Amino acid sequence: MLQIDNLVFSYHKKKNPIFDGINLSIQPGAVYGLLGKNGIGKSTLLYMMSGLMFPHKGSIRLDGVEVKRRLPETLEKIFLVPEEFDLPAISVDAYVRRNSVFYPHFNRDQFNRYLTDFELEGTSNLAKTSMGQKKKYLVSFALATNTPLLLMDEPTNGMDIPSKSQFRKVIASGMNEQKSIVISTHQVRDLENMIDRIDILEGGRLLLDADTGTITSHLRFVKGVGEADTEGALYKVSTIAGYSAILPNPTGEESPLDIEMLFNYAIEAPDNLQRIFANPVK
Amino acid sequence: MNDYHITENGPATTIASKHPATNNFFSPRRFGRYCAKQIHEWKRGLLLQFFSLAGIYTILMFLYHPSDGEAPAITSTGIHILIWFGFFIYIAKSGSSLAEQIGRRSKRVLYLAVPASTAEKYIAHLLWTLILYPILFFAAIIVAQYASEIISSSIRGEVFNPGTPLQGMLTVWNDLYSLSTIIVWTISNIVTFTLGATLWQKNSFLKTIAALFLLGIIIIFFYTIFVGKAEFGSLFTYIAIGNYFENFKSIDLLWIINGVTIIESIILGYIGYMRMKELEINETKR
Repeated sequence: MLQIDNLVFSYHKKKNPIFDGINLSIQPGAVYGLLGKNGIGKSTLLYMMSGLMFPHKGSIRLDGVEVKRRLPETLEKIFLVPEEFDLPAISVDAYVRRNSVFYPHFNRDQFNRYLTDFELEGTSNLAKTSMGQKKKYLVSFALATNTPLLLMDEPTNGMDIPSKSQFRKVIASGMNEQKSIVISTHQVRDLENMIDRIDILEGGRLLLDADTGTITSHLRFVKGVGEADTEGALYKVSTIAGYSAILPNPTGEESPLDIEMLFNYAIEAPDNLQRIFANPVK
Repeated sequence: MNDYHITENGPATTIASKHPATNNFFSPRRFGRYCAKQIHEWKRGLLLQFFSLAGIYTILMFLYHPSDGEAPAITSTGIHILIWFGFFIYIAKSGSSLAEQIGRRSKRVLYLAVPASTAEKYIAHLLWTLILYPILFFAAIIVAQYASEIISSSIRGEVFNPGTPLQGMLTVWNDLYSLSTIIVWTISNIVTFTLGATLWQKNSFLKTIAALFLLGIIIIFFYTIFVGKAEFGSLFTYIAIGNYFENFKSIDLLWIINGVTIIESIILGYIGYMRMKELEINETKR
């Protein structure tokens, strides 16, 4: 559906490129977790995927059309929930009536259901709501548009703890086979049990682009074990409850994926991680 | 592994297959929706502008009210000058208002992401400035016209004589040249300040005025250097009745100036459109 080919981009000509030949394919029916440190370019990549920023080299195409052309037929297939945004000083109902007309598959019942899930009520002035509430309104609207591609930039920033759980529930209920959702975050715990595919950005390249099944078939994640059980670990960390570690997975036995640990490992030993997925441990 | 269950979305697929081919440059239906969305989002701000303008001009007309109390304030030359001056400033400021939609990153994201073409967004802005804001301005003047008369009669005890709506202001319709000049200069004003908004998003209005002022100085500088005319005041005389145009009547020349202004407006309008097309999210967070 969305195809990124050899993406090169730099904010300043003299500095290292923020993206240096990124290739990525976004397919329908999956939730993608776009992970990376602060300032690594996650938001920039999402803006490029939605056509709001232009690559210096390479191309980003949605169903074969360059997104940077910002054609209405392309824009109506994409919804971006930015990290920071302003909503107009109108009621929720007016906002929905005036904006839903641009999205051919918008479903008002779904929108109402998401509002209920978020425990939100209608408001007469969206501009006066808190950032967390604005996020919840926009996420509800975004999911109800039923655009094939939904991009969310740090969607859980500004949300309180119950809202983060509600967010997971809403994303789960709003997902279907025609959609793909890309969620960028540096708060990796917020994505736990929600994503199908992990993409880690680091040093201008895509360090990892793999589905969770592939990751857990290559790597075994253990928690709260003794030091002896971490022998041969690729990555380990001592916690109060014992050791948490990433081990090679020669048997392919499935273990629960710990995204935070994977992310820390990727940042600590990027070359090792790439080697593992290029030449899987057998 | 994941919490969600795949739910079929059959109807959406059916709708997609029946969806007609999209006109990606200009669709009247989509344009109408875009305009309706903007009006709805701005209505509070527009009302505030309307009442502010009506209030300011009520005070001015009250202050300029003829002492004999027989003629309505709107017929005074001073008020006419203030109204036309205010009109051009207001229209220029409205042209610059595009900067408010695309200035801050948090607003620009949602502005650019709306599924309407750049042409529709650009034309909508030009139309608002050309039609909506002038209507709003003159409606406020009419309100001020009546309100100032009510205040004058109740405070000063003068005869209540508001006159006809916009009395004395509509003489431009009697003269094709005046009418065309006002329209052409209004359009030129709009496209120039809209272009300014695409170039500078912070203090767009003031920066555009400064740029025009600078441009004026440069033109005069080159004129005095290369054409050899040292006297500042001879500029207009030279153009209007000088060597090159001595065969023209001055009214013919003014038509030429109108024509040149139209061409300039088309060029600046096109540059503004291209700037909008190439508009990206800025680097800084805010």
